Amino acid sequence: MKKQGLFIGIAGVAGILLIIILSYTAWNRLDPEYTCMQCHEIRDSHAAWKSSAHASVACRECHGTALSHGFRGLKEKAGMMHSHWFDKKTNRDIYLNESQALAVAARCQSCHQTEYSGWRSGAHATTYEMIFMDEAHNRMEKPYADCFRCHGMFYDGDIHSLMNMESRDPADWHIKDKVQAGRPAITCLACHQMHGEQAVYPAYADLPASERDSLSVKMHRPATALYMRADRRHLASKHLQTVGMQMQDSVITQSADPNARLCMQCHAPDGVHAVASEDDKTPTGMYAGMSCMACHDPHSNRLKNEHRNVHKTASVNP
Amino acid sequence: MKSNRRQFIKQCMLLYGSVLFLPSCRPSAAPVWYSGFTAQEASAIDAICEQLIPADDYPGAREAGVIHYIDKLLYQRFPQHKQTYRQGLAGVEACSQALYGNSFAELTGAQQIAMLELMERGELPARYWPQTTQKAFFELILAHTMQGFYGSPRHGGNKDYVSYRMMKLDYPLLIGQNRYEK
Repeated sequence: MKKQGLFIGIAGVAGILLIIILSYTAWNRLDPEYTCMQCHEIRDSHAAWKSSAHASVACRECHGTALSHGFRGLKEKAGMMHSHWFDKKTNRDIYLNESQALAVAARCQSCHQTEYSGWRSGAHATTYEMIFMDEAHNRMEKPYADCFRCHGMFYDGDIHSLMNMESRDPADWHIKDKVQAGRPAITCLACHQMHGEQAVYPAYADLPASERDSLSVKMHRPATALYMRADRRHLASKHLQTVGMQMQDSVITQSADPNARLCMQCHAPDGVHAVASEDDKTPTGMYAGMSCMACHDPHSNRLKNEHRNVHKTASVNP
Repeated sequence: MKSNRRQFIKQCMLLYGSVLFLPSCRPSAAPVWYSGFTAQEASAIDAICEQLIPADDYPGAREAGVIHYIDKLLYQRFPQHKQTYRQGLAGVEACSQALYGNSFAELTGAQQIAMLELMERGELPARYWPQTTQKAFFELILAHTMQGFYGSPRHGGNKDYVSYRMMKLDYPLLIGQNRYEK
């Protein structure tokens, strides 16, 4: 009798485990319209994903499953469930924290290896340490909240949670968290919206790397978007306004390429939009009207050809 | 109830076979979710907002997602206005049916404008608004439409900063490196 009870107990537990495993597998494999989209918070993201270049990439590929990130993933998903039932969240209140943005960026490289290696080897792969521990710059300008506009736009805290600036001497300032210091300050999502509206190029992920490169050349430039930290949302580059640039009394012709408007958001002129002021890189003279992309690789920021005098013409060729 | 092996296999086949019907559970189109409105109420609000700020060279209130602003506002911040909306929308629907024999969202643009103009002046039959006045409801939805269209997208409306672009607002503001301590 005891043996029979034990057998039934084991069989019951095994059956429950089997049901859980099957359900979990089915949940992760099914079309998101049956699964993720059951939560109203996800519906906007789902609609955007369907019209994006990543529509063939399953949710789990970037967002993971409940168990794919161990305890952290479980905690995250439990938090989502808690928010769903107990917080008054709407579709528009969902955004990624920095760890999640970095996790997504890490997933980008699995398909976009060429772009990733370009970014990795270029200036845009800068870290918090390189940006915020630049002593010469800190002596000129004390780091403050607006730095995050272009460097560390996904950072979860504020400048005082990032840095200890109690000393009068900038040489003594330091980033409080060493792990944070080594994190990249400008990641993929700074300029790309994963769910951004764009035509789908079939089976990009299934192509070998060499073919992807040639496809990248053939296809139009991917849609870019500015991540606006203050509003915690992306704005597609095509919606960014063309800023009227001036050089003395002249108005400078600007590129119609939306990507150039995106670059300008951080390589920005001063408040009156004077050419060559502050970080401005507006092409002038015979180069006026050219897009940044005509000369620069957007990921590595390297020059594609010999275009080394473009920005110097500001002072000699009105 | 005892079942033999044959019955057990039949029951299993029935159970697993039913999985084939799962695709029929798939929603035909992703329904837009509103916390406080029915689909009919949402259509009416959308139509009213669009008449208050219609599309021209730039998108109007509908495309700017003003209804999402109103929905979020009532859900998170001002649930006390929910009742006013319910009563006001019921009045709009009843009045629309009485005057034109159709739902407000289904009326032509000219009919919608005519009705809203009367409503703004408080000249629609008062019996359709027993618990709130038509003028009060009009002013409330007008204020919310303006807020949703011209406010920051972080509050739910003004999709893709459409009103900022329309007004040529310098946003995001380009000010270079703000060396305030120089």
